[in-house]
Amino acid sequence: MKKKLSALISALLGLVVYTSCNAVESGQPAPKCEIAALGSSSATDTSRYQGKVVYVDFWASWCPPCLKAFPFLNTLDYDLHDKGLEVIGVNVDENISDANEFLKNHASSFVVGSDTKGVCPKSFGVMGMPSSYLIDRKGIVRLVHIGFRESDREELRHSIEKLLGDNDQISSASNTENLNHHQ
Amino acid sequence: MKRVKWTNAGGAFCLVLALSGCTSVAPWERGNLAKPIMAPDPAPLQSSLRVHVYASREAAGAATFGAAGGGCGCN
Repeated sequence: MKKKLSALISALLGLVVYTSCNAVESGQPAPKCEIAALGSSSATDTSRYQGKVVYVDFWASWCPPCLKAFPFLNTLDYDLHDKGLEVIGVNVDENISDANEFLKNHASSFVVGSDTKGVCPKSFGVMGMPSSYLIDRKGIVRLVHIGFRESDREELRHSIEKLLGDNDQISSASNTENLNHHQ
Repeated sequence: MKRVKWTNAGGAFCLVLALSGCTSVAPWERGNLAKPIMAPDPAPLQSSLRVHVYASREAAGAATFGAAGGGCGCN
């Protein structure tokens, strides 16, 4: 009886571990994610932005912290777009009219797309709402952030600016390398 | 002995039947669960008013509301 019980418990634990294993972690390549047009943005996919630092945010109209994150995403796009940052908001509402209604009241300056089938969040292994992924110029995930609080602003912005700076250095270093190679 | 076996089988069957109703809902699929109507108390303002009126008529403090009742309905 004890053996059966322990087998059942370990099977349940295994299931929990299995579900959390699917999540994309820092250092792993970002999965390709195709998103449909939404609001004023046209259809796109995350692999189109290779060579840019990409901040992907999964949001839904029914999620209050997602609403809180919206002004932060707008600020990021406004301040850092010219420095090579692309902010992409992936809406995961099952009913697209909910997302459109949300966007009527909350303007977004960044790229917004829709994934009603939940393919993108599944491939990223989203663990909570909102979830954001910071992807470097080579397509590698550098930061995974679940949830959003006002106090997270500074830390997130610091990480993004650091990555933008790092990549500048990397690209300038590789350019110098290429120049030396050609000489 | 045979009866115990049948009881065990029945228990296991009920357990499997109950567990089949359980499912994990992905974080991005919780739109319907997040609707106010799905909350344990979908109308908190209305229910607090009801408790208030009920408690005042009952002439006893309601445990949920905390207001003392006097029977006059004026608390």
